[in-house]
Amino acid sequence: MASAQDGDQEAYRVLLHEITPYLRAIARRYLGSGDGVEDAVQDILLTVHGIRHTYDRGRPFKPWLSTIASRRLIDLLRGRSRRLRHEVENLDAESIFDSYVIEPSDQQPDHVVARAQEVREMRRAVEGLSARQREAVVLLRFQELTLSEAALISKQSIGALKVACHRALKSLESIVRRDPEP
Amino acid sequence: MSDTRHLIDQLAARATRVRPLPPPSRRAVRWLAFVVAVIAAMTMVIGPRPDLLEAMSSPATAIEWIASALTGLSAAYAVFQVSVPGHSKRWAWLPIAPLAVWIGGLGLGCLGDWWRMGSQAFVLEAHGADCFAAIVMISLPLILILLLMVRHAGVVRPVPTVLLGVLSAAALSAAGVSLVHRGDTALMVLVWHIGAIALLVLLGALFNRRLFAWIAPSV
Repeated sequence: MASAQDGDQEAYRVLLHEITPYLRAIARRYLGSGDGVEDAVQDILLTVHGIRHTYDRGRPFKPWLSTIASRRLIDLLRGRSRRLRHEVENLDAESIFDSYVIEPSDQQPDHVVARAQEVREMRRAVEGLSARQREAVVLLRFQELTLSEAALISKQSIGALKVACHRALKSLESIVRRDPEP
Repeated sequence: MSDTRHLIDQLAARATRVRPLPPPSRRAVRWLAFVVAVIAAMTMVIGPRPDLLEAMSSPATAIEWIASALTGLSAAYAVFQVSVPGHSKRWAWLPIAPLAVWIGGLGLGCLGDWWRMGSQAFVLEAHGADCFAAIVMISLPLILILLLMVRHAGVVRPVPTVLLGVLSAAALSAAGVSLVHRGDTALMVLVWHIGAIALLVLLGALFNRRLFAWIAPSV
């Protein structure tokens, strides 16, 4: 990095290539193995480039790099949490239901009537969930977040989330079970 | 991944020579020299308070003043440490001891005033708000200049950097204002001086990221 600060472009290119696997590993630790990892690595590389003058030549390089990497990843996680939270807050029962309802494949009149009845009951059931139960179902089942991620976003404890999700699913399940199979 | 390789090549091609940051101690000295110059100019323009020597001959007042100045000095040094990636975050604790002595001294001063003056010690007079306004007005440009010096911290440690920067500027401003503003009861000093610092620190805690985004949008 000292050579890079002096303007040695080749040394800088080699350094950035060498640190990329480490950055990728640390990004996976924070973000999982999803699509966001490569974007996060690039974000960290841009930050490293932007503040490379802050590296102190008398000190080891790794703590400098890991401070930048972990800070950027925490910011990215917070941004992701904020976006998800915003989405959850803007979801009402109707939109949840409309997003996940499965249309019947056959269009026979008696089945259409039965399906319409089922739709009404399911909608009532979703509307009947408390805000916390609805949030728990959306985060854990629809967004498929881990318990700790969902707890961070919803500001509920892991235990409270488990209970809310369990009760919500019980409530929805009882509606589905009442529907006799043709 | 090919995008990342391409990005690395682009960054390397743009890697011009950069001047490494000077050590925190040297940067802190530069900043403090600037603050001392501002406070000295203010003291010369307004004139020192008439009872300055008499007030400073009282050990309690002198200790409070030294503690306020030390709070500002230590917070300034801590800013230049925590704002650099890889340096310990524990530097943020440095101003706690002088701050505790300062607030503790004012608290004891309140008790002393009450012993001496009775209920008069707890009268809050409106003219104390001049101190409040003066501390805020002097602190604001000092805070902006300090944050400009550590603008790279916005992407690394925005919160401790802003809080320590605000504490440093406000504590030094309060020490400066004490040189020109006639002494009040300890409660007045506690409410208006510490109140001004608390308000600025609170604003710093709320708006640190926006402040950095405004000061250094390209970092």
